[in-house]
Amino acid sequence: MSLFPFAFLDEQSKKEIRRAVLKGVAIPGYQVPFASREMPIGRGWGTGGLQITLSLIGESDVLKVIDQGSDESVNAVNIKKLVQKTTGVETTIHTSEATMIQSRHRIPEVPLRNDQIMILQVPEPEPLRHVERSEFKTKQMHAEKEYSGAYLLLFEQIMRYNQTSQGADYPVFVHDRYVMNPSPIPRFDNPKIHQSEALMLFGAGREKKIYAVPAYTKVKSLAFDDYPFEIEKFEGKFCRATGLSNVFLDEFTDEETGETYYLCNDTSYMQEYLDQKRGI
Amino acid sequence: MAFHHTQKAFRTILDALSFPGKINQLDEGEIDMESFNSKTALVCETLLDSEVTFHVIEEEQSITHILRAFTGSHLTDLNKADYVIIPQETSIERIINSLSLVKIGNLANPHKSATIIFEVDSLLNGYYYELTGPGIKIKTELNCTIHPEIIEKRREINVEYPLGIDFILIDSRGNVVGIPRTTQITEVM
Repeated sequence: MSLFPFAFLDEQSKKEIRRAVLKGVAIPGYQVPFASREMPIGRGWGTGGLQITLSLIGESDVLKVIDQGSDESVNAVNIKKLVQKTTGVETTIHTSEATMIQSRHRIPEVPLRNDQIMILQVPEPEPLRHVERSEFKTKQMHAEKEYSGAYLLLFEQIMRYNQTSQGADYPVFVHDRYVMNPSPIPRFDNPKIHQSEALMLFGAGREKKIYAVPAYTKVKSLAFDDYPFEIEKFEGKFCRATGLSNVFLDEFTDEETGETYYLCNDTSYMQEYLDQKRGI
Repeated sequence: MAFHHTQKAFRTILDALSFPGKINQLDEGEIDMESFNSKTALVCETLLDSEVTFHVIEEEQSITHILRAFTGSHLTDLNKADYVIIPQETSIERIINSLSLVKIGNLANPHKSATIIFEVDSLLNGYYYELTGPGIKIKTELNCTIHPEIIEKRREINVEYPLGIDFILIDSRGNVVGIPRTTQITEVM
């Protein structure tokens, strides 16, 4: 017998997290407070996402964990191992096989389905934190739908650089009510949340917040009429391995030639694409 | 094991509230709670514990005793309860009067609102409603025995979004449907 309960957390903790998840689903984009538990990984390393995963997961689930597009990075592997060892569930690297996907900083390239749940790890859930340090006051701002501060941040970026310089965690407006941090996914992934087929859950362990965007929900990236929202562009650039250009690319430098090249950031998608091409 | 049971039940409830109007099936509950539908008992077992409060719209004391014993949850007044349970035989008038009293949260804390666990006769036939809102692709239909006056009352209560109440509907066959506050319901004549 394992020394730990099924899915590590005790039933009481799961219940509380589950209730917070349900409230989050009922109020899209609203940050529901919860009593974040101590986890065997450091706060800020995905404890929020992990607690949601552990509270939801059951014997028949298939889990995929990604860290910045990779299934094989230390953080992803450790989280996957912890869940696997305390539940015995199957894990996968293939997006289409997973019932639950926990992720840090990316939404997979493979389109999600409505029988899948996307769980994103959130370091900073509060989109107004750079405007106002006090949690008490930001909470009041959300209550009053007072979001000029969020726009002001983008406006300042435009004044300085003639474009928004926010690469990741670009704020979105959810169901015409709440401004929300989508977690540090690249802007490239923001449109995937809008009218997504899958439920998306967001967990911030250190900040003790859970929030959600149900499927088929209006999610709009903040923008101005004369400075519309734009995703990262990779014009003229393509993945060296697959030749794909309609995906999020990582930039690398060839150490021998000093040449710059690009690869798909979503490594499992890259592998699937190559396997298919080779007819495997 | 009981925890697998509640885990499965939770995922069913989560799916129901994530996709309003979708008919989900709950497993048979393991705990017998007398007058309650066994599926209602399972939902209570899944969501309630000593950190939350409940209220049952009923004169009888026995069911509240059983709920307390099985979940550790605290009985409280209707206007303070986190979970309000409406048993199947409750009259329309009683339901409407009760709903006007439940908590709907405040603008800073819209989550401090009641979740209504509502036993209905059927979620497969009865009045014809059209649902729209988050979790619904364009629109969906719900056929259920909930009286239009109750739906109208719900609309009044939920008028100032994000304040409002969320429903978990359970019928006598164990079908379950979630209706969060974001769902717009119109009756189709």
